[in-house]
Amino acid sequence: MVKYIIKRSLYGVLVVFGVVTLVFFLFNILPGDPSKMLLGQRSDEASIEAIRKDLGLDKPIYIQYFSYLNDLSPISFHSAEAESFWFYDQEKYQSSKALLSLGKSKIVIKKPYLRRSYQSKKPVTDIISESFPQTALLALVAIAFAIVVGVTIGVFCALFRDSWFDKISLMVSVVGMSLPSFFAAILIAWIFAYLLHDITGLNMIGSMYSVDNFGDGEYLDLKNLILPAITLGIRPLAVIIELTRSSVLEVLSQDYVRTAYAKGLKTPKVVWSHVVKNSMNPVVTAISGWLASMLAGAVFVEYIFDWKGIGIVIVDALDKYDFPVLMGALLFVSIILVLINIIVDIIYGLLDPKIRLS
Amino acid sequence: MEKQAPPILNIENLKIGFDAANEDLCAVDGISFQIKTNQIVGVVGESGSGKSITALSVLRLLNEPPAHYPHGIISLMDGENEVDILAMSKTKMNSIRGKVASVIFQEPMTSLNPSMRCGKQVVEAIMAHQNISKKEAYKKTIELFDEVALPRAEKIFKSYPHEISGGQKQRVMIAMALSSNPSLLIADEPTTALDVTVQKTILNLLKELKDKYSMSILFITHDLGVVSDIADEIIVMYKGEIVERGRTKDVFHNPQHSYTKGLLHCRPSLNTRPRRLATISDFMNFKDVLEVESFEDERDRRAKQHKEIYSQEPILRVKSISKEYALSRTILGKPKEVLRAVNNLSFEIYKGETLGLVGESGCGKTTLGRTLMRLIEPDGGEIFYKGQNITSLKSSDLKKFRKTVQIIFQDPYSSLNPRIPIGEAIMEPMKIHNVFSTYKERREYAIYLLERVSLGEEHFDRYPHEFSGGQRQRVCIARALSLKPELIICDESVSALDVSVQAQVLNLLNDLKEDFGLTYIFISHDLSVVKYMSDRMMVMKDGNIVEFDEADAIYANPKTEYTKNLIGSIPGA
Repeated sequence: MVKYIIKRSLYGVLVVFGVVTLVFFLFNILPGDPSKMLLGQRSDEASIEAIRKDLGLDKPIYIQYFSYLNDLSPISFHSAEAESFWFYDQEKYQSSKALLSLGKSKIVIKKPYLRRSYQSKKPVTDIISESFPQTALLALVAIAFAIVVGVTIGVFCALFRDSWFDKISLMVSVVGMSLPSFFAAILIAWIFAYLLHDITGLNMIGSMYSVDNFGDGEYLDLKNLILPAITLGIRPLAVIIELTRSSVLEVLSQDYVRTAYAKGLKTPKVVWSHVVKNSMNPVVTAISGWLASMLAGAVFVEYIFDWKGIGIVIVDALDKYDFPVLMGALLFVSIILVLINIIVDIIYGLLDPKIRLS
Repeated sequence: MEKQAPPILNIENLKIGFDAANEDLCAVDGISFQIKTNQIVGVVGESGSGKSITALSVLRLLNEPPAHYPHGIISLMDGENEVDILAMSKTKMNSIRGKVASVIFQEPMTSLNPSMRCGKQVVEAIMAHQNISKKEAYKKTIELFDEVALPRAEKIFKSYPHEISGGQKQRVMIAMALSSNPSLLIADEPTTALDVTVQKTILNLLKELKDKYSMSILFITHDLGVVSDIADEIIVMYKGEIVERGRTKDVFHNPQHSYTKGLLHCRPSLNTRPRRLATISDFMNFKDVLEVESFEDERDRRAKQHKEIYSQEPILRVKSISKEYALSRTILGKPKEVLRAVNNLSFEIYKGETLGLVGESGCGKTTLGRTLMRLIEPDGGEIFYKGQNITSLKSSDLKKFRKTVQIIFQDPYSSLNPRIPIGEAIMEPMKIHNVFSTYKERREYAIYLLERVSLGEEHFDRYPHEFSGGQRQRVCIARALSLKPELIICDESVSALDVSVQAQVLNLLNDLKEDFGLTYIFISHDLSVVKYMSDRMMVMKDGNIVEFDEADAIYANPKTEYTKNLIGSIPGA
């Protein structure tokens, strides 16, 4: 098990490295210039040059690439000279420590440095740590909603196959699956936060934190989570209902279910301890895919409900050529994806002892 | 005369149907029988005879609908009270199932929940009927495991079903069935999926437990031989009706119905070797089947044949071939423990012979068969086919070689693609190997093959699910023949079939062998079948050849305990 996790983590590092390389070079193929973007209308040759030098954009691409990797790596090489591009600036590299000095060069151990936003000059780490928890909360609540409701409905559909409940649920889930999220978002916001606002008390837009009008600053406002989470959960919910239903139907026809009945177990017990667990495998596969893509940011839903998550951050960064933010966000998301994959593999093992990891 | 105790199970004029709209279509039609205390009743019949349905109906385990019971009585004795099973509500049935009567099923592989530890599955059964704590249930489970002779009960308790062998799984099932001391045990083909040697131990166990707990057993099987040793009474079912019943001895020695006679004769006899095995239909049509050939004639014919076969050059020469599987690996991926599935074996195969390969599951016989075709790459050794070293063949030459060697697998249900009509399935290999140039020729040949295996043109466009197990195996045979191969590997090809169907398929294989000039490698765990089919026989154990000789010679004079055990386990022998 431990061996497996180590092995997968090493693969994960490779994946992340691949993402960094790919995004870095793709970004540099894009037409456009971050420095012009920064200066906007006021740009003149001299200030553009100054900014390009400041950001290191005047260096050849491969130097830029290695310097970015160097900033990321926990162990990095730097120069002691202040004018150098590779200067070891203690302010930049937080909680860092010089391990070894060889003439003018230093080997430094440090936290990975994700640089600062070109636009806001805020450290990328801060931007991510502000936005990601919002996305994570939204995604987890949405998926939890989809799992709890979806699996329950799916199991009942299978148990009462061809009943009116089954037929209506299937019909609704087809609608849910084919509903685009941007449309669903607008529709749900309009119905529950506008038409029914007096009953629900929900707002059309709002983020995890609301600003208090009486000057007490920001406060946590979880009420705003409800509508975006439901919107985001609709499609996984629909898929989970169908998957659970067909998987449960298959398990119900297995010999061991007949054995369970032959033991004299009551139906709810048979369903709970023999059917549900054995039918969860395809559902877990689907959920992991959905969760992964949601954690990468549900851009439409975040935009429409003005939920300040990482999806918005990525799209904005792309729009403004804000390379450090884009890179940092993508890097973070890819690490999350690798982690989710490892967790899902462990869950498979729990569900099916035959593929338990060794 | 003293007053007799009422029977444990009483079935009267029972009819079971699956189509409420059509009363005439029924799976079981008006059967009556009784089981007394401490009695074993064997119900024998082929697939579709309604025997399993009867067994399942006793505990109302058939799905209702579609199953329904137009008339009849099933009554079980629950202690002193007689219970009318067909009048019970669903919830009340739960207190009967597992307590008054319990079931063990055919497939121990699929009858246990794969994601629940074995012990817990038994604990669950105990706690459903007995008001005791988890700890007591645990203790009782361990006792039961000891009772059914499971080694290291605590370890089995914590194991998942896939971690223990088929025989052990069936013992877990038996422990589960016994957990609440039922008065009736329904055994639905409990040994069909097991090796003959394991079958024998399970049968002995059932008999022991029956005496110990004085319970009654309803034993369902397709193989008369299996119940011959343990049943007190035998009921023979055919097409939903009882065609014969009586004491075991009487049924065996003096069968009345021609179907029973057929059943008795279709298992290959151990002492004679008729050219064709008698099949049920022969008996049903009152054909004079027992082609009489004296023992001496048969022996001489065989000796002459062998002289001819073994005077030629061998077509396949195997030189110290091995295959290992890693059981566990080190961090660097190097094997730490290995299982030698095939251990340095050398032998030859001659044109026109049938080489039998027999052994318990896990002895390496299947691995060996597949290695010969390079479906599994050997780790070491060489295989020469007509002088050509096939272990070093590149893919295009390997394709040519594969054309001459075909395989027929065990399970005809999973070795045919359910979405391809069988005609297409037979034509597919011809297309890949360019056997005929046009579709029309291929189709004609496929139809010819279908006719050869007693199917016909009308079956060409049908899908596998429309066929019975025996018919599917015929389709597999036709598919194997489509490339006009020289060597066919039959890997447990008849093990999944009823004995009655098995005889037909064996006859077919022998007929085809003569007509197409084939050579067979015949793999099975059942020594009686291998002996009947083979010229020479190879007994395998743990990847090694323990005996290799003329088939009759091994049977007459087995040299190892292992072979003796295989022979002794043949049902009805």
